[in-house]
Amino acid sequence: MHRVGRVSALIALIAAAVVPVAAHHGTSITYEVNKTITLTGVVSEFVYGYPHPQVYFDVTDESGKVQRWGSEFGPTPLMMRNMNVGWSRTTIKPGDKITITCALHKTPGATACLAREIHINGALVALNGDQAKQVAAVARPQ
Amino acid sequence: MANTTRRRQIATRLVTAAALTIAVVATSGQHVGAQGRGGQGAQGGGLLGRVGRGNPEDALKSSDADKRPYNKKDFNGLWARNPQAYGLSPCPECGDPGPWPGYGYHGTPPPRTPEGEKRFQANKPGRGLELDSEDAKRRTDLDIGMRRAVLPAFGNDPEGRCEPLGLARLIAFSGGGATMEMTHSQANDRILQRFEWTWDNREIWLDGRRIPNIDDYLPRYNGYSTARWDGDTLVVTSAGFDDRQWLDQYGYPISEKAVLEERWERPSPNRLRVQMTLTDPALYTAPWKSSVKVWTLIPKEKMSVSGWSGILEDRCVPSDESLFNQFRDHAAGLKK
Amino acid sequence: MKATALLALACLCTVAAHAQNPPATARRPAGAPANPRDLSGKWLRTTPFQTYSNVKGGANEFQNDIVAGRKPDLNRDTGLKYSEPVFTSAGKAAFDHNIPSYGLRITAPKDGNDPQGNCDPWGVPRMLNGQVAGPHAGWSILQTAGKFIQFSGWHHDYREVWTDGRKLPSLDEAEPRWNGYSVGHWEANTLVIESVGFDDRTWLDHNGYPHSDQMRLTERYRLVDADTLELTMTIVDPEYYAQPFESDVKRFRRDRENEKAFDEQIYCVPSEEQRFNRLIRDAGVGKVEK
Repeated sequence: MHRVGRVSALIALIAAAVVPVAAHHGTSITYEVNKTITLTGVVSEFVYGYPHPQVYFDVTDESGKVQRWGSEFGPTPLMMRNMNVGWSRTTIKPGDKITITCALHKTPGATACLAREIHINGALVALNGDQAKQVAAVARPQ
Repeated sequence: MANTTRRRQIATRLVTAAALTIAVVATSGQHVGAQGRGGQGAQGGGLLGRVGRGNPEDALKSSDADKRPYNKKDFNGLWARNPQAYGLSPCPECGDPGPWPGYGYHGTPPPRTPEGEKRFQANKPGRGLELDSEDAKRRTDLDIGMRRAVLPAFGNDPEGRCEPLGLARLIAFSGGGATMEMTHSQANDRILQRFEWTWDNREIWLDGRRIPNIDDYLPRYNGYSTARWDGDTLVVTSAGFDDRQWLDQYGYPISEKAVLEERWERPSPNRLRVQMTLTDPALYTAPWKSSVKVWTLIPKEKMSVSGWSGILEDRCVPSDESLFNQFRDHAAGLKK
Repeated sequence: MKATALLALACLCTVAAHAQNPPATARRPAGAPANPRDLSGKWLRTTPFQTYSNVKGGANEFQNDIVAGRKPDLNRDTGLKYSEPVFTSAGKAAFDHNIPSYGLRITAPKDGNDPQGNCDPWGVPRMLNGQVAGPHAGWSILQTAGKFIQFSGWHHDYREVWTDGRKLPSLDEAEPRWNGYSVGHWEANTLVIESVGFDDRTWLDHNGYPHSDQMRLTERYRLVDADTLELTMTIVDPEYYAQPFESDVKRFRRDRENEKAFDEQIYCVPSEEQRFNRLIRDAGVGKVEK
């Protein structure tokens, strides 16, 4: 099992309802769609572009060793804009603290994953319409 | 004749480039002599104004002998800057000085900001006078951008990797017939421009829209273009440029904040011309006007291969290019 | 080029208008087209197959099982009707050589050989299949006198169809093109496009069906109503297929909201693609990139 970070790795088995619809190029075949990991790190780079947006972040383990992880998102920027989930190129910046739950790459030891849920500096940033509703609910005045 | 000329053009590009282990045409001597028409262009055509056929004054005089009435606002057609490639009479005002120093943005580059200089130095072109050569040192009348070429194997021109060229470079073009096609949509809400080299396309919107907020739209290679008519001149404004592109083959940089204006006119039946103005204060301390580029109209039957008219599908395909680059790199002495 | 992940966003068929676009028109049943011979517009696939034809696995209908490591029941009722082409032995060999990242033979891209992964052009008919999901599941048409230009937003590519009466070139004289050579004519209100001269490095679709450079492609387009376009295709390629190879009946809906959107210019940029593959898809293993 791949051990990472000061935050204990949560390997969650998620019910099959995780990827209901059309598969995307090579994405589902590349990742363990039913197994995720949660990581915390510091963002080194955010690529808001094609083929899929990617975030790269450094995860430090107890011994101080740093590993650079990369995670891709499914939707491309147009969709993210259309979904009104509020993304822009500056949504994630180098130096931001990231907590990410993502589906592991099938290759053992790979430090690459498919993003499922992302928190930046403690706040959820939506990757889909449902999460966008959650974000909007939090933002609404009480 | 035109058919074989076209075919040969494409084959020649590959053969010539493959044989060329030095991408620099170090034959400046003859060019200096041939050129000096002198005179300053309207905006300080200056250094390059003296270098020859890129003289802006020449570009404004049309050698087109066709005096028939025509629609000045109709840009439809196949256009090329090297009509001789199609068996047509030469158009002296159509070419930049070339094949050397070749097709570039030209005009007079304004001084660069520190960031502009940094990016300029990072770009290593394979065209122009060879860096540190005697010719490069001597020709101080030319901007340094055109005097710093290195072997492509040691350079980083994105063109060599089949990366998109970007708008200004597509318009300025990097050699050959500089061929493109303009098409007005039937609804007249846009003009489509297609470029033969790289088979690229861009849209110019005529519906009065504004340039988008670049934080909402990704900067892209051709930027986002909107246009209006100023009399018979089409004034195109574009913004949102992906800064990985080069302004032209000499490696001048362009930033995401740049605004490019193009002024297009059809001064005579067989001529189309444009002058660009780049406003990019992040990198350049003043707006920069290009030289005037002129195209000549090519009748369909002259731009035909095997009876098939239109621009060629002259793509830069990575798997083709990587094979070619292996040869090129090997010839340059790079180990593989 | 990697396709867009639509996944849980299936509900997002309605696309919010861009700030720069005219407001979305209220939806109402589309009537007859104003001009049945004007196919201009932006068109998104609504039929299920993302492949050239209705082959098993062509609608990603077994994807979830396969990627989860379960053997799919290929005989279960998916509600789809299937048809497989009849290969020649050369065609079967070419099919076997292609290792796709979709369909029943799905393989991780890093272990496959789909030319799109190298940013090679899709070619025709692949660019017509609408293989990418969501707002990119189609193409647009600019129609003028004498020609019809069809654009794929994904890959920022286009092809020309000439309606100026010219004849197709002879294959002896014409060099193969990635998008071939196409001419079109009207038969009543159906646009019939004939094409030849294809570079054989392209695939017919993302499931890796092959074609030879002798392929002759016929496409038939017709407006079913003002907002629905129907496309059927036939391939005659005796080198690879023992019989004419028919596509499924593909339907596309007009994407009114985005017809006048700025082109996104989704180039397949080799350096972007390679970096993405190197750092993520091919599983960069733990190195700290400086």
